Amino acid sequence: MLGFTIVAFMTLVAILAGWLITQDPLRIQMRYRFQPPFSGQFWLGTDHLGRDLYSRLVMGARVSLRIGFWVMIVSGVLGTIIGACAGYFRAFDGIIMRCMDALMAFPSIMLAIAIAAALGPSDLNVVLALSAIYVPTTARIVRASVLVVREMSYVEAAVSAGVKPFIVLLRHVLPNSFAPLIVQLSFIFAYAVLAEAVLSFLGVGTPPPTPSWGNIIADGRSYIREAPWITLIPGIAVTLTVLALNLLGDALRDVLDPRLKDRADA
Amino acid sequence: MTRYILHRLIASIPVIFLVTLIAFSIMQLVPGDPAAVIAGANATQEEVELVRQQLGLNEPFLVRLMQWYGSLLQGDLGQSILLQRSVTSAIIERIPVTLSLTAYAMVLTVTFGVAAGVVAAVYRGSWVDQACMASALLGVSLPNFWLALILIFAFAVGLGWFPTGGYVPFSEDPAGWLKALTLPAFTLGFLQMGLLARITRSSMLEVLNQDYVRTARAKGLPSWQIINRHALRNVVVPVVTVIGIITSHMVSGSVVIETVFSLPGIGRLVIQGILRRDYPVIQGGLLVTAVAFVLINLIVDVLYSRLDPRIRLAARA
Repeated sequence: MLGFTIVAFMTLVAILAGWLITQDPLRIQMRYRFQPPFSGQFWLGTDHLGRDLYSRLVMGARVSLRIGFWVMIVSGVLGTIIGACAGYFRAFDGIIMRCMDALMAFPSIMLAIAIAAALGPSDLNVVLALSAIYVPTTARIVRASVLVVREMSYVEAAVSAGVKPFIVLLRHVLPNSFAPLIVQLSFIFAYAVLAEAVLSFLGVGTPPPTPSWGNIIADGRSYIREAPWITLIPGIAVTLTVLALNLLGDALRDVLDPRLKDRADA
Repeated sequence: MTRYILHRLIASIPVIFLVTLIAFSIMQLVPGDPAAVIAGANATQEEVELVRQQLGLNEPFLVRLMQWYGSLLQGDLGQSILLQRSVTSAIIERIPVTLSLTAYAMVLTVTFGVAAGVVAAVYRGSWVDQACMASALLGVSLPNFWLALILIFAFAVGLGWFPTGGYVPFSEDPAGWLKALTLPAFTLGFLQMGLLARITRSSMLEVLNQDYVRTARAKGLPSWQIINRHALRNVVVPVVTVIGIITSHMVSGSVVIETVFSLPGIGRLVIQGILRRDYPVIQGGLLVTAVAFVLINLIVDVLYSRLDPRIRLAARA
């Protein structure tokens, strides 16, 4: 419940960001630089360029969550297509899964940084880079459940009734294979928000001056002695959001896949 | 046993081949002319041409790939553009740093993680149990680079106990080595400790419910001996599996941690290579870490089957 509340709150903040900000998050006011939190018009203080940290944080929520959301969608869709083909059309299984193994053999963050840097800094490229590292996970999960579902007697019934393989896959196998994927996707959302922060922190993610939680922390890093709040506050935002997404994932798993809950509680 | 290892080695060949292909092809993702991108915005036409010649970009993709494989087989990963030296020797030079960091982090994780897990299982619902649960959740939610910055701020800048970054080789000054690596290793380890504690706890609970534990208790063995003699041994198998996963997480995490703490390890080398578009370094670094990853998994599987003969037999069947 706590997880759901925080996720809902953050989503609302991200959607309503345009109305919630008190100042232009990009407006530079050098005479107000390094204002501490709760100082007059700046609720959370200002950064080294005198930009309002509260407004940047709110806009950053929009950027971070949007990227996390799209990574979840793209890796979910691609993973489903790839995993379903590997699990249902067994001829492709070997080659597809070896490719996925190879992608998983790289340290995930290193691969994402390499792809993001090669493609150049933009939100779309961050989504593509992060999706590339999560597709193998989703593909494996879909494949595993397709392998189970395709042996069910209702699938056999559909096949022997002469339904085309593609239709069987789409109408009978896939809908019954989705539960573990949905659970995994909420975790991928969480990982993606974290990973986006890492990419932006290292300078290959969301290009400045657009604020994202990662690049606000990167900005604050050089001024951690005189203005620790620039680093502290966005980090807390990332942690809370990711924590909430993880809790949500756990809750979803308990609902959709009760067997795992018993094991976790044992 | 040898047959099992051989079987696993052969099975990883196609994966390693694909890994080399991906590592090499990432360069192809660069939109436009890679030579112009590498040379920089202010480069003259001649400079761009020089870079192109240096990287052999005039040749078609397949020819370059074959040349790369050719030198790869001789252990040559090419010349770094920016370091002006061989990538192979640059990587070899940095292995001890990354190895010390992950080994130190692993020692911390296993010591505290297993101990906390055992205590949490024996005293269910105690504060240790709850702390394990909380730190497992925090471990997957805290951004590692942020935790690193906070720890630097508190323990290096504030209290002055540790340096803010940099590396001291063990051979030069063992105490300095330990000091330089403590914060990074703790950052890396802390995020994994909770996970290990959770797994240790749940497998410990499973073992404590077994008949042989009840028998040991019935014949009057003291609790600590039951845990030590009968329970812990049977917890080792799942814990080793998780340690394999944790090692992969650590190698991945060390990329960021090395960058934040300015440790001259492989991860930082690759990140610098990526940021400066030093392609031979990117390709070599990606390849070496990925192969290390595959080997770690292989070692874990082999260890696993040594510890639990049932797995070995299943693989043979």
